[in-house]
Amino acid sequence: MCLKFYGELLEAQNQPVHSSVSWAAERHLLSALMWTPEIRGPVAGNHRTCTGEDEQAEVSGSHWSSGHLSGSEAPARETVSSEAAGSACGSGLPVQVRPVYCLCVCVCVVCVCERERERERERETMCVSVYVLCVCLCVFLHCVCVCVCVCVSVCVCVCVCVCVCVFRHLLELLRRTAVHGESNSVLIVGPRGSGKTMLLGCVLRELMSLKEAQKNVLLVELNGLLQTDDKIALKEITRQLHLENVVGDKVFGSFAENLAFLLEALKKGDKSSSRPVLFVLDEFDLFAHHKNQTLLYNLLDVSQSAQTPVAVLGLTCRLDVLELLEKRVKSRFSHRQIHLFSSLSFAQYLDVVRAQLSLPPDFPDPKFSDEWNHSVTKLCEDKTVEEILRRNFNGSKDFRSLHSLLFLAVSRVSVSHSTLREADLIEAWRLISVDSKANVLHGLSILELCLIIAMKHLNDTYDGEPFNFQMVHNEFKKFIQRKSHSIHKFEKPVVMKAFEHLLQLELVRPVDSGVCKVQREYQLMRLMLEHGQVMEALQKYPQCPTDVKQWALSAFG
Amino acid sequence: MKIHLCLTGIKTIILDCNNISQYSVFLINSALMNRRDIMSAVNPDQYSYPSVFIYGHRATGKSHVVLSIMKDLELPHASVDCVECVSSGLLFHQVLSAFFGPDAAALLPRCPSLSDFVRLYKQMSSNSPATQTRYIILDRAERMRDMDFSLLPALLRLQELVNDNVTVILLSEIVWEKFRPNTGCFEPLLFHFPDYSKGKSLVQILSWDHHPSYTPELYASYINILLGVFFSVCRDLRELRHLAVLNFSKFCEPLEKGEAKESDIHKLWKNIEPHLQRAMQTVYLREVSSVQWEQQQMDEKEATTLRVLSAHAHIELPYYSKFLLIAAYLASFNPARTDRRFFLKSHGKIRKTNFLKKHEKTSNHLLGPKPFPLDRLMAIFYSVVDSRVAPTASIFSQISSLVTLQLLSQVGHDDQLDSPKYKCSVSLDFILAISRCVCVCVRLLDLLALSLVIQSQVVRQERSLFTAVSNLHLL
Repeated sequence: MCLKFYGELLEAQNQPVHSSVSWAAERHLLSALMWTPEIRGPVAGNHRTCTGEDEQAEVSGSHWSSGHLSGSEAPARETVSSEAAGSACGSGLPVQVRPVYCLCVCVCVVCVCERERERERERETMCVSVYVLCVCLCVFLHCVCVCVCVCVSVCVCVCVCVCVCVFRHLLELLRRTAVHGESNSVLIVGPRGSGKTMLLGCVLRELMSLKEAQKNVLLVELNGLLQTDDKIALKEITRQLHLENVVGDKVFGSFAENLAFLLEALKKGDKSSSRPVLFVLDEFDLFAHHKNQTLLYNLLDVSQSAQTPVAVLGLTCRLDVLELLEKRVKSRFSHRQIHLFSSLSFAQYLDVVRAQLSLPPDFPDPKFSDEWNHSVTKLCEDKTVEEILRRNFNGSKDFRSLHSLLFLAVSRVSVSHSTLREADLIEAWRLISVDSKANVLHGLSILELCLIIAMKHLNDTYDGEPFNFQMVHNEFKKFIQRKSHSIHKFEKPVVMKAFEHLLQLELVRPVDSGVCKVQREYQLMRLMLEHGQVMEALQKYPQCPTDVKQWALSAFG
Repeated sequence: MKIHLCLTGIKTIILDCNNISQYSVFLINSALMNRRDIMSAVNPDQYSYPSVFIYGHRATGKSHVVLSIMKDLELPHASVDCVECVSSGLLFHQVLSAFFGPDAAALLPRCPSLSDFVRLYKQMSSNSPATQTRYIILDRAERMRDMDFSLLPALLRLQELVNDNVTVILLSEIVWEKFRPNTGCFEPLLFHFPDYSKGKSLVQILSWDHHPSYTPELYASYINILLGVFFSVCRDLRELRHLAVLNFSKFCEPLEKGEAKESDIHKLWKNIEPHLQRAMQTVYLREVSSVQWEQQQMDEKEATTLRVLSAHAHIELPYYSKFLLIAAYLASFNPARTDRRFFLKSHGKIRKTNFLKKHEKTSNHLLGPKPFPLDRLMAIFYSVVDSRVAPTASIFSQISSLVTLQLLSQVGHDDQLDSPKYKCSVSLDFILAISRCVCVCVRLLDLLALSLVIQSQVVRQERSLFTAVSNLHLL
């Protein structure tokens, strides 16, 4: 969409449209918005084709993930990125603070380098202790305000470090399997959109860039959504290990045969000679629902015994995933869990927004890019915009919701206003935050609305007890007889039809959905709307008769 | 029926009457436009949003807009109506054959799993990489919830799973909240197709199919009259169009006979209004088919007989079955304690106070029928029926045939032989209709009326029915 308007803009200025220019603009903005890390770079299969240029683009395109991304590069680059993160934060500081700040950055860098050599846990504690030391030093030497500045930069660094730590930890784990042939199992747990798959993708890419791992490792990727039972999963494993030919006609044989074959194949190997296999189980919790958890049991069993080196990586969004495992499965799991929770502060979040919306410095049309970036910076400083972003941030920290918000905002840009305006974001926010049930209520007929009000009254009177159609109809009839002037009397079947439409829209739901011989009009129902939702919908309803409104407002019936 | 609305028409309507639709049309339009221009030239490493969810009321033009955009821009798309897909295999089959030709779909195994589908898709898309975004359009997506539990979450993130530039567009009447699985899933982009406003768009759209031999103004005024009757009940464009077409000939009748001119709107209104009211009670409820309704319009005299035919009350039952049904109704809707009072000749003294216990005071007409044992049914039956009836096998077989007809329903297990329990599952209107054709017996009407009086302390309609019944009695 940006492209279209951009092209039109250029045409309006009587300049030839360079397809490359416009394409670059389009590509950048869209890719920044629709940024799904798993698919942007080429993932599994051709890791080696991934060039340095791509990585560079990712770093510039998305500041927020500097933690993950810096990890995805070579260790040497990591220091650079943390420094960059530091300098981004430090550039706003007063001049006299700079030396102290530089000192701090140096310490960070040293620390990061240090971490390369140390083991994970010790490293983390040491990191923090060095920072604390640094802060103390600052307090001792300088005034308090400087100290605060340092603290801020330290926070950023710690945040970066934690991400990097997780990354290093996982990479180390997999490297041990890939290179040294140690079996392992690990669970990555985090809410949806917290970057589990992306973390794993980066780690795998990094791993595959190692020479010794690249030739050696076999990767099997399973997804709980796709492999819905063990038989399918087993077939998929056989396929991904390219064993179809070896199995010959047995490949579509019975489950037991397949399993026996696969286990045999895995058991035959030993630590030194056989190639390590990485099993990635996306939506790990779904595998726990398979019958007897056969697959999990066997995989974890292999990973526990000294057979073919195997790493089992589970990704899940369920915190209680271990509770789902059977005892015999649980005891074979290493109990190594990596939790991914976003510790993002709002200031960082704002930075991300800015970074995502800005055009890159190498954008072909510098004049437009400057103008655009300027408008974005101005936009981010705006009070209402900040309020909207804060609300979105408080709703969820995950970047997917941010992306859909920004996506809607950017798609409102057109030739007539070529920069992103405050109004666009407000409109996008309105669209995102609108209650979809209110939208549906807006399109109901008056009769259906009256039934909803009757249900609301029943809910109020009987304190949320379920009701049936007969009661609703009775309540509605009382209203018609007493007060209504605008609404005619309807035959019962007509009202029933309206009621069934509500049922179809799932605004009303039967209490027990099971088969029962109860007549339709006596089946117990519940209203799936809140009191407030009904009242709000009534306010917005076009040409709502006054007596209906009065009825809704009255306390009882 | 030319239900099909022309594309440009609906677009302009939507563009005119509200911004949001315009916006969504614009968005989809522009998003697609871009890709067509660019993607053919450049390798497609730019992905569109993985999934879009479009919701709105029936006949607001969801699928129409989306499909015509696809058609206009000649985009690769697979459009699947989920109602047609009794198994997920059919869905996969349609998608694959739309994208990669029927040969690809033939590769699917007999009962394909999601895994097979994704594998094949990957394989095919690596052979013929997407030059532009592919679109999978799933109409009536709410049906997908009844299919395999992992189907919906998997389709929402299909782009990631198959690693291809594909967007899934879901169309539904139901809000997104009802779709979200327990453990969450990828959140699609939500769009709402708003309903038509009465004043502008609905009249405008309905006026499009005006009759060639009459002026559009006349048709517009007809539509206004029609909406005056039906708009408060129904906002479904398709239903309204259907009704408009069905009743237009009746509207034009006075014009053809020369009783009125086109400007006599009031006269025309007077002519059509009761007719439309009748249509609401019959055709709108599908109690008569459109063909029957048209026939009825041809021949006004038959209308009354047809009307009776249409009512569901019209069921021919054996003589004793009718009494059995009435007895069942009385047993279901009266508390057992009152039987003595109603059905015995010398029931002793009636204590006025606390005649009904507290929980019995809420009418059964609100709560529904209560189950009763066979003995009670027979006892009431004997007292209701005017002649002496022996408890023969034919009587009992009539009970079971009533159960088969679903006028009674058996409660509990079918194999309970010694004291089966039943419930009456017909409405009061039905019973009244039956008793009207059976009853010469005054006492029965009395009984019905009496039981109604007790019930009707809460419900007013029953009281009016009571008066109706007593009128009958007087007759």
